[in-house]
Amino acid sequence: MIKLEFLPQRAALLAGQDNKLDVLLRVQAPAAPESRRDRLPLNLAIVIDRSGSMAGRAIAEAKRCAGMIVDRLSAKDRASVVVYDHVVNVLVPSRPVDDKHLFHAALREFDSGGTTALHAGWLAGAEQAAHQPNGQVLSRVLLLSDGNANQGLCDVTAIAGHCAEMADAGVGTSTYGLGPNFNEDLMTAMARSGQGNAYYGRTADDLMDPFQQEFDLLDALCARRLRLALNPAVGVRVEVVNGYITDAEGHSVLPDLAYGGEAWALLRLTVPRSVGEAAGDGDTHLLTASLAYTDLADRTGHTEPVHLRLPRLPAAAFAAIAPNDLVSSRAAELNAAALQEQARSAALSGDWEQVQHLLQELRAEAVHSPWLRASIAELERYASRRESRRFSKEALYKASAMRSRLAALDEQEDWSKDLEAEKASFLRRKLEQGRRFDPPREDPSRPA
Amino acid sequence: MDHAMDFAKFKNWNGDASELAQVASKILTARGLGETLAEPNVRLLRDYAQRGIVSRPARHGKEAIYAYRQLLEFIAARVLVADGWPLAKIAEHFGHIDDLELFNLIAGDGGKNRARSVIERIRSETQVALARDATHPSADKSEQQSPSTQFRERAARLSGIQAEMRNALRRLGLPEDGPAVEQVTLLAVAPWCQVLVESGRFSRITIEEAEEIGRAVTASLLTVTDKGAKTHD
Repeated sequence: MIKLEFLPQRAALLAGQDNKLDVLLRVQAPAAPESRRDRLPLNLAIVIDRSGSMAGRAIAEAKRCAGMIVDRLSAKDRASVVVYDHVVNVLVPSRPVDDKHLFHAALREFDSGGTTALHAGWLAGAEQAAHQPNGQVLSRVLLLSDGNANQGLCDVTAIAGHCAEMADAGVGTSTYGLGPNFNEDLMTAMARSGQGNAYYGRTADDLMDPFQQEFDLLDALCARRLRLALNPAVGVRVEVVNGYITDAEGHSVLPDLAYGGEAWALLRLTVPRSVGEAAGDGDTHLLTASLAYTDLADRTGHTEPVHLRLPRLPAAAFAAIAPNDLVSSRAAELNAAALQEQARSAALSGDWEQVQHLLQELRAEAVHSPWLRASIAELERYASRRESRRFSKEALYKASAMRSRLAALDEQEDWSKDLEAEKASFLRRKLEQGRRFDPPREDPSRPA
Repeated sequence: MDHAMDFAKFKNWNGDASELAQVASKILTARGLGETLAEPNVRLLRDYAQRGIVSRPARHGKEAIYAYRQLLEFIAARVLVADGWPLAKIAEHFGHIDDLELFNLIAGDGGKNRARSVIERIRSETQVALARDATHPSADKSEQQSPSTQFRERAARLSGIQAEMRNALRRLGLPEDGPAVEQVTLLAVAPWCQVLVESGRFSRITIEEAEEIGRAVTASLLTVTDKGAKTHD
């Protein structure tokens, strides 16, 4: 059911030379479920920061988002509600969502308070989600915060490490940052290590979009805990350019896979001349890849291993092979992610000259990609106004999305809001991560 | 010991109130809660039944026959009480929880729930780390010091802080033995009105005092807003 495929940038090696080549590894889900299926029951812990900075509209919107989550759940799902400032309160302990009024009543009950014991709040949520040990549910903490952890454990690496351990034990973490003051390094690290998703909303209104996105993704999920094993031939070096985290066995942890989607990894291979020569006249074997995953019935599945073998061609024949557009495009995306991360560091240290320089490089990188070109525009606006916090958040979330997004199976280089609006929300290439995706308005001048 | 496996043998158990209390006592002791909690007894069981935590037992003539479900409810409630849960919250949620969930609550780590063991470990590691940081806020963790050096440094740091604090308090005209510290609870009686009450007072406050405070707040509000005079005019 899950298909693994290599797509090299050029389908050959240059004979008699050391070679460096990019190869796209595509992990493709089926387009739709083979038969009508029920989605996996969800077991969610909704953890809401109610520290003082959330006072007013932010907390009202957080409650609205949490209410929306509850409304989307059914009696076969479980949920809990945890709020925290410097004190953690479990408003609704983990229980089946068979009485939504109870959840809504609890959400009405609290208001904003003191400082931000983020780790303690998250841990209480994880504890609630851990009440359900059955593997045939999807357990996840949804952490919503607008601030910095300033009480209890605050160290980003330590907190992210805890998220990784919990994810490994079956409870993932997704984070939702709100407004200009939350710690994006912490929130993205938690989600990345927690094998969930990191979202943010510039305003409380913008948060609704990522909640929707996460639910759509969970609804369409077909495999989780994807572990990619790469076995290069002797002498060949492989780098996973996306920078996915690795598990204890050194396997790359890919994002959860949904029907109609493709997880992908860009592999950068260094092939010394000697490797090719040792292969004699035939194709050169470079790499074998295989994937382990957990299906919806909590069974471990394995894909058939795939092998990358390429012929060695003389210079003229090699040059005649056109580079693959899709591989070039994904490579450009990851280069853009790296440039945005560098620009973010420069912006945070106030070096706007360097930011401009990097944005220029980014524009050059985006020349063949309508989506990248359009998505840089907002960063440029923040840079021109020297809004370092907004720039920092948007650049980091953009980069993070580019490194680990699911692509649509039929994704084209073309990009427009119309095209994206037709896709499932979790497959859309958004212009701005912190803003909701507004579907294009009907053009009144267009004939009906 | 695998408490989950051990507990499974009670699936077909039934007995009267006194037998339930005895079985519960054994299981709670095996789970390591024997010393934390008061010994289960018939009075406690009846109290839980009255609160709706333990469901109604079957009746055999005048005799109440308790079964596996009531045993689960009673033990799970004691486990939650040990975790600090208020009885009202437990009663609120038990009506909706099935046998398996109650079993998992009791089973703890024996219920093959790795996530919960990870949480326990994280919790204890975090407590240790925070306690260490509180003792040595600026210490380089990679640098190992002898206990006596640590103690001397800590004592010197604390005495410096205390001297500084005494001077500051003297300048402010406050007692030198430290700032006044009081535990208070904030009651939000309206989105725009909060009342601070000494936390220790709650257990002693009488209905008359509460009513008196209500009247005092009303009078204060009316005085400040100048509406009291108009009302009385």
